[in-house]
Amino acid sequence: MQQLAIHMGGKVLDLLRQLGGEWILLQQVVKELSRRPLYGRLIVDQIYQIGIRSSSLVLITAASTGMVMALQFGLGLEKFGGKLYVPKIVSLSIVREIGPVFCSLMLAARVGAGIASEIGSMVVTQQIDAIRALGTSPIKKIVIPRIIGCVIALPLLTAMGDLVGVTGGLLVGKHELNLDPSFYLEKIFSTITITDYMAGIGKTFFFALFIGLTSCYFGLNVSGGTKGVGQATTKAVVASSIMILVSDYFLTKLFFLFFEV
Amino acid sequence: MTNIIEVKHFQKRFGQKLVHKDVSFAVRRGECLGLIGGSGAGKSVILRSLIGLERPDDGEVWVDGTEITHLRERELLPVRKKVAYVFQNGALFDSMSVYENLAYPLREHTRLSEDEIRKRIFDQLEEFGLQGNEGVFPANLSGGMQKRVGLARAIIMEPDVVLYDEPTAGLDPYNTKRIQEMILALKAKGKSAVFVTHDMPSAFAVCDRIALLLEGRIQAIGTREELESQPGGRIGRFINGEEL
Repeated sequence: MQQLAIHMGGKVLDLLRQLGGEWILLQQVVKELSRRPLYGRLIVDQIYQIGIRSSSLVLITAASTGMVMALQFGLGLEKFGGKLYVPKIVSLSIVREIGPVFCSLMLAARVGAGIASEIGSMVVTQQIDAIRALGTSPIKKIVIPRIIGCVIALPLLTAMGDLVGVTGGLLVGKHELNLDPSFYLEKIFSTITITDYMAGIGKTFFFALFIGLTSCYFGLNVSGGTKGVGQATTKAVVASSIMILVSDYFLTKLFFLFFEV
Repeated sequence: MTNIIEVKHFQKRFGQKLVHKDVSFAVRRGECLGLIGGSGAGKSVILRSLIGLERPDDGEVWVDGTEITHLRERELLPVRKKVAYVFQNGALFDSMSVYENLAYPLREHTRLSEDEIRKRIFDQLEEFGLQGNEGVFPANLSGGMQKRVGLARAIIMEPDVVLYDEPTAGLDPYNTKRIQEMILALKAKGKSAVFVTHDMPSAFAVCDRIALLLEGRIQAIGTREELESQPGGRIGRFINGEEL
């Protein structure tokens, strides 16, 4: 029992240390953002690395999710004569919840791991120290471009993912559920409002910040050589995924309050 | 002769262990001071503290008249322009070519045109025997070449002081000699230096004075002759492997 308490206490301390560390890193990022130069080329490069290179994974996930949801809801609701509600349910779920959350989780897995391991390797090989020793800031050169890259790329990926997911549902609706595509489209447009869309996309700005910040934090705090890099990579993915899932509830409530969705 | 670096009552603790109990020494302007000591004695920590990469728990570090231990990262910039750090394994940016590595500090801190940067880099590469390697990435360079590129990058901004962290460790005799020659050439230009090493022949070849760090304190400091003439001196026993 005592061992369990010690173990749990240690975990809570680790969590507090991580949250505190990320808060300090966020403060440094905000402070450095106000100072020139901003390294536009590095930011553009990160948008490419994070956005373009993750697009296939995100879009395949979105298409698969939309198709499976349409099939499951269609077959399930058909028994109760509710097949006609499939376009509404699928499109609304994707745009409000499934699209933003799944795209963010995919990005956390792919990009979060990449950022943490890249920065961790730079720490181990003293490249971060070299950046400092050469009179430049690792926050500006390394952290800010990656966070901005995430914040720009994720909402765009989600917007595309929403479109692909809804289209996937439409295709399944037409071919598997024998729903008329024009009826399907009409239901989508009459159901989804711009507020629904913005509420979903709005959350991804926060998710992107969590992914970028958490991954950079774990990368910068690597210790213990290559083993430490592996551990930091895993922790970065797990922590940013948990932050996305936990914050999703609160952000959804927040958007309900502000936009009365 | 004035001091360009002064370390006063430096203390640093790692966990429960007080590694640096009371370290004090000074580097005179234009001299190369060797810092020797056993593995884990904390030589590199002191070296890193001279440029603000580490902070002591107590004590002072003065660099060219500025006490740097309380400076914030941004306030350390003038110090880091004056003091260059040569990392043990070069610490080259592996996503950049040799050329880009050398261009990095020039692009960050000068308003030189790309043509001027190019000229300066090619001059530097020639001086360090690295011509023809400008497009090569660090992963494709030998250890000795990586160290030479690291040295070339560190001094391209023409600093007043160069801090060497075991620059000859793990090198063959040929590359060791090349590094020694480069350090001596910089010394001839009037650069001050701190040279952390286990390589005693290199220390004797390039250093004006040598300080022995043992048990968290500087146990002896002086020229080679002064240290060797100490009867039963610790440096003699350290060099001969009779004492850590």
